[in-house]
Amino acid sequence: MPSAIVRGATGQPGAAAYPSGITTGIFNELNFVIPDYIPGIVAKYGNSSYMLAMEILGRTTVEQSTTSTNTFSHFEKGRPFGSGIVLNTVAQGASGAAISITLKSPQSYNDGATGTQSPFLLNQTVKLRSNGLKYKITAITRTAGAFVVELTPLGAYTVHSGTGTSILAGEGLETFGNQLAGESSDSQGTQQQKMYRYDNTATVLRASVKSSDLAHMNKTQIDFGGGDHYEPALAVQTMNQNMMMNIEDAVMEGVPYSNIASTTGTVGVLPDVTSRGSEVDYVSGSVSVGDFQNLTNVFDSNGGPREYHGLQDLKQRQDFNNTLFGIYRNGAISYGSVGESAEAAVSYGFKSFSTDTFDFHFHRYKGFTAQAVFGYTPTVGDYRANFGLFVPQGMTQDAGTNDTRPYMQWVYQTNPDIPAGTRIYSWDLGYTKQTKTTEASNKYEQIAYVGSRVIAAEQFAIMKGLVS
Amino acid sequence: MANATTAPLTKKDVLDVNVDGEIVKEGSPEHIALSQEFDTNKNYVFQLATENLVRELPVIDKRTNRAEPHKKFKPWQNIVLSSQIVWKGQRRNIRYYDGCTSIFQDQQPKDKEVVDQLIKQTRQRAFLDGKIVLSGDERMLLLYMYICSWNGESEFRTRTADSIFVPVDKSKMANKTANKIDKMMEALKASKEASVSKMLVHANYLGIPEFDWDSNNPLTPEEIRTLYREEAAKDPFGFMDSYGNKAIEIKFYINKALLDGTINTKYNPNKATWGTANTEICNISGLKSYEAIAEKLLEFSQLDAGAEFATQIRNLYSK
Repeated sequence: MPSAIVRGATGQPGAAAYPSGITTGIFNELNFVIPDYIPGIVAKYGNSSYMLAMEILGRTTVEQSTTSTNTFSHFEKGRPFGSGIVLNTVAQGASGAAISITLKSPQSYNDGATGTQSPFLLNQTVKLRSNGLKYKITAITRTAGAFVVELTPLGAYTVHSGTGTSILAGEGLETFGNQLAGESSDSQGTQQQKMYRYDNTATVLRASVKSSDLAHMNKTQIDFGGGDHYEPALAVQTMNQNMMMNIEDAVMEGVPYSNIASTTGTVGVLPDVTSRGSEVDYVSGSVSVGDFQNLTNVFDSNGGPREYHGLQDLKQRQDFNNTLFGIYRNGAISYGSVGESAEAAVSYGFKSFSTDTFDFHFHRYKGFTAQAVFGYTPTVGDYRANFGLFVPQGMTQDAGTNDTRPYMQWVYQTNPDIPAGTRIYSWDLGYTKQTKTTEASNKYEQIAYVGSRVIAAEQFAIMKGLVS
Repeated sequence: MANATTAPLTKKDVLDVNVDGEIVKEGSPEHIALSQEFDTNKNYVFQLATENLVRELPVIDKRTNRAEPHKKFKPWQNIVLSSQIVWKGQRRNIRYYDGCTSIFQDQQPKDKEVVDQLIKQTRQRAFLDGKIVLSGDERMLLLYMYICSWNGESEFRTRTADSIFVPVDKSKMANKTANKIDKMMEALKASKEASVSKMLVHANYLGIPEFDWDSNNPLTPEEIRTLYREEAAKDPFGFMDSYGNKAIEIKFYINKALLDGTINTKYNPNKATWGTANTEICNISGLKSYEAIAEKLLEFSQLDAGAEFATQIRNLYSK
């Protein structure tokens, strides 16, 4: 009877666990991404890991922890220009007459009912969005639950929306400074952007391999790479790949921890983007240019940069191939820069597209797909099917410290006893190692302390194909 | 009418009716859905079905150095204006275009130029901070929103569709609140009127302490009742679900009997026996922990063979 590879084709159930160990020498290529070795690393680990791509592009950071609680923070500023929304429709008065209008919360003011945080100041000029007419704020009443501003027309017209006879509920009031201060004007009030602090923590990831003396001694007929014919080489390589994916999943999807005592996880990129970023939905299989324009609209509204990475599962990539790349066969698509050369863009798995002043570099991201990673097809729902994450590129400044950082970051917490710059710390012990054990086996250990940082999550977006 | 039939209508007798060009069975869910009337002076609200997870570490407003309120919904999400539904027992496509008089794709214009024009003139809609407000005069859009598969409460949604949003029905929410208040009144009444023995059993189940941990004094029945009434107000549904449950009562007595030695498990480790008479209650072989033995005795008390044991233990402790 011919021998067969058991479920070799599907790969299920994936890696086998050896609770009592197997064997070998350990590496940590991820700690040393040296340009000369990049092709080798990509060849060995493939180009599907976004973490590896980011390492190669130099977009991770090793954060020096300054607290024992392993918390790291960044600061973000709010919009510099304030606005308000009219709560109730109010009839216009006579031409030039002042009208009091109540504003909607929390769009116009917050801090509960008192409205201590609102962009409105006395003597300020405000403009109505529906018709561009300008008014002066001549009184502000901060009554509990009813923030009221009095608008006095700057010219000979009434207070009204569009071409109507009343100012309508939902009308937008846009604030400027005092544009009509007049002679001997006095000091004005102060407006200041809101400032937020985002805290996050690093989670701790572990992996181990144990190999017996005999596993380490018995040469096999298989070359596990680099001429190493000993079985532990495969186990260590699996550990490295698992650690890489483990870190990537922890950072991308987050690690909740409120229910497990004495641990800290990390928020994760996708939970942050899901809460604070925009979502563009389309019908799976029929993504259109209009859907893409939805995306560029939200990027434009939220001040997104010119360049984006689109991490996509294969189904969404196929949708895009059938529509966008099918339509724009001879233009718009370029294998342009993803931070390095066009050639590099291709070898790291990017394909690009430009529209509406934005450049998109698409990366087929295996981490979203169960079939590609785990070798099975989900049957009771797949939360990342037809899924894409759009990540702004370039650098942005921390609003509190002025440090320049990428929008999305892997933050590794350092240990003063571990060499600086180390992302994954590895050590070994055993009967042939420096630290001897009584048992005739060797142990290889890895540990990483890593968390996610998402700056300006509003400028990220999720694109999702819906299935009905 | 002497000759009038009183027999109920059969399936054959149900009439077909035409609603906006769509033939449906009278009284069917399809008929009810299409016949909906919307008040043109009212607004209708829909909100995203999924709320944001609460951040483990809150966002801090640096001006006040206080946590920002949790935002329940993402800031922006568009609405997909086409969907498959299950209509009259089979799948059918619906889609919404501004100005089109039907939401059924097979009843809409098929000419490519007209369709392109309809697509272009249809305004994009989106949930802002999780909500969208639609005016009652947008009848076709409202029909689409109530019927499409993306609506988690639609009767016509396909099994496989993602639930994206739900209608915000104020009257339904008001009913829910009214039900809670009714249940709270019922629970408060029960907590006030329950006999002391009944209250003690139930309070034990609800986790109300019998001791004041600071002074180490046992709480009086009056003090326990105050805490018991507070619990009734706090979780009226949970309170009433367990109130008067006989199994809880038996379990309380079993725990007491195990604690005071009335039920003995030491004489023969494989058997639970009455402490004084050494009469076997039931077999507990293999069980060691106090909780497992108590569970086994409770299980036994619910069987026919354990009915006598249940009566005996109730008689012992319910005085």
